[in-house]
Amino acid sequence: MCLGYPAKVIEIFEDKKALVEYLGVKKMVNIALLKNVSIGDYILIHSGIAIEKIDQKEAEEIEKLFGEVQDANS
Amino acid sequence: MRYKMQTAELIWEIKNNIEKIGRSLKVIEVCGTHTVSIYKNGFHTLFEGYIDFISGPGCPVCVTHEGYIDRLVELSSEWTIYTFGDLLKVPGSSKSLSQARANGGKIKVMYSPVDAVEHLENNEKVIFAAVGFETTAPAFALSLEKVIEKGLKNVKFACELKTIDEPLKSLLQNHIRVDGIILPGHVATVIGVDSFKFVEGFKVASVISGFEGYDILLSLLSITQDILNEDFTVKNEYKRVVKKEGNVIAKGYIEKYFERTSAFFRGLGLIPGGGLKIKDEFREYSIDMSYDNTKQKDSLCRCADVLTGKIKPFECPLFEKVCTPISPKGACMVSQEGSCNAYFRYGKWKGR
Ligand code: SF4
Ligand code: SF4
Repeated sequence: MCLGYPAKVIEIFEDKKALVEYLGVKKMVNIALLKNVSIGDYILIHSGIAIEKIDQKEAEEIEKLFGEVQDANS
Repeated sequence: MRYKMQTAELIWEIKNNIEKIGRSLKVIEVCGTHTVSIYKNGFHTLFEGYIDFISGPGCPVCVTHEGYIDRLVELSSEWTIYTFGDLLKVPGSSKSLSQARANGGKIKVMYSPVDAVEHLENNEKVIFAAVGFETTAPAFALSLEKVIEKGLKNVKFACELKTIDEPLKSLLQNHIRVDGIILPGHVATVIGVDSFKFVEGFKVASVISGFEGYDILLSLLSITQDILNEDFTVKNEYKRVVKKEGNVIAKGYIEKYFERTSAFFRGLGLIPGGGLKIKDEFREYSIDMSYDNTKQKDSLCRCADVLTGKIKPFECPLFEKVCTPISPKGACMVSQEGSCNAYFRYGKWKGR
């Protein structure tokens, strides 16, 4: 029910909405819960709403490590 | 390659720590997305003999009472019910919402409650099935605000929102003794690290975790180190998202529209302060959902024992035999994030 996913902000609209992209899919989400969202930011989406900005530097570090776990234990 | 090494090293280090501790550990996760990540990555097998993973009552679908479903089924003859897809198959005491829909009940699946409100007509008679923890509560607060702004008169909320702190307290106090807790990263995103300080009083190692396999390993490392150091402060491994104070705007929305109430949790029973209800000043937007939570479906389903760590899903006599994701007999098999469902799907790694 409550899967969250990280997405990149592509465009920002009035009424606290933004177009985001995640794995090539574009979607409109609500950004009313965040301050100062800019194009290019990564945000965490949950039930159609951005619940937090993602610290990009830290995310990139972790991202490099994603997916490796399965390889390591197979 | 370098990173593969790092992962392997991490695993080695966790096991090494546990050997130093000198006994196997019980670790509980309360978030369904963590449950899936643990089983999908095969950690329950990888750490067999080292860590016993227990899935607590974290998935909002799994802890939903039959009575709530019954009430929605009843209302669906007159109102259009908007619900998250996961709730559709949860068995009520006689019918699930999807069975009610097959019998003509008006039930629509929504992805986002805020979007759904934007597309409503002025005279549509709608009930939002508001379930979830503090992660989804702001979404329902925002949609309630939109309903008020748009002046929609026929829209109500069937509020069954839950809070995470009180059930966690009850679980730790009354049901289970664990060495470590993997705390829910998305709930923490909203309520913040500080809201989990109460866990420190239970003297268990705890860490707010992200959802990738690597995050879980980092969290397990943190737990084992904390046990070795007898350090029971709450750690935050999901720093790229979770802040000390959480999302202040989101918390503000929750406080504006909701207040604490007691709520029923499958497995844990009635918990004072375990739920959120719509504040009295907005009572016209809330529909009475009171139901008898003692009346339960007569079934062999053992979700309650699964959710309190008393048994593993495969110890339930119905598991895999009559209870499967296609024909679930209990809520823990319905939700993609339920422990029975995760065990079913990733069973090839089952260390049983
Ligand atoms: S609401 Fe969020 S934290 Fe809770 S089970 Fe779902 S994903 Fe996990
Ligand atoms: S396997 Fe099915 S019947 Fe058994 S506890 Fe899980 S959901 Fe309930």
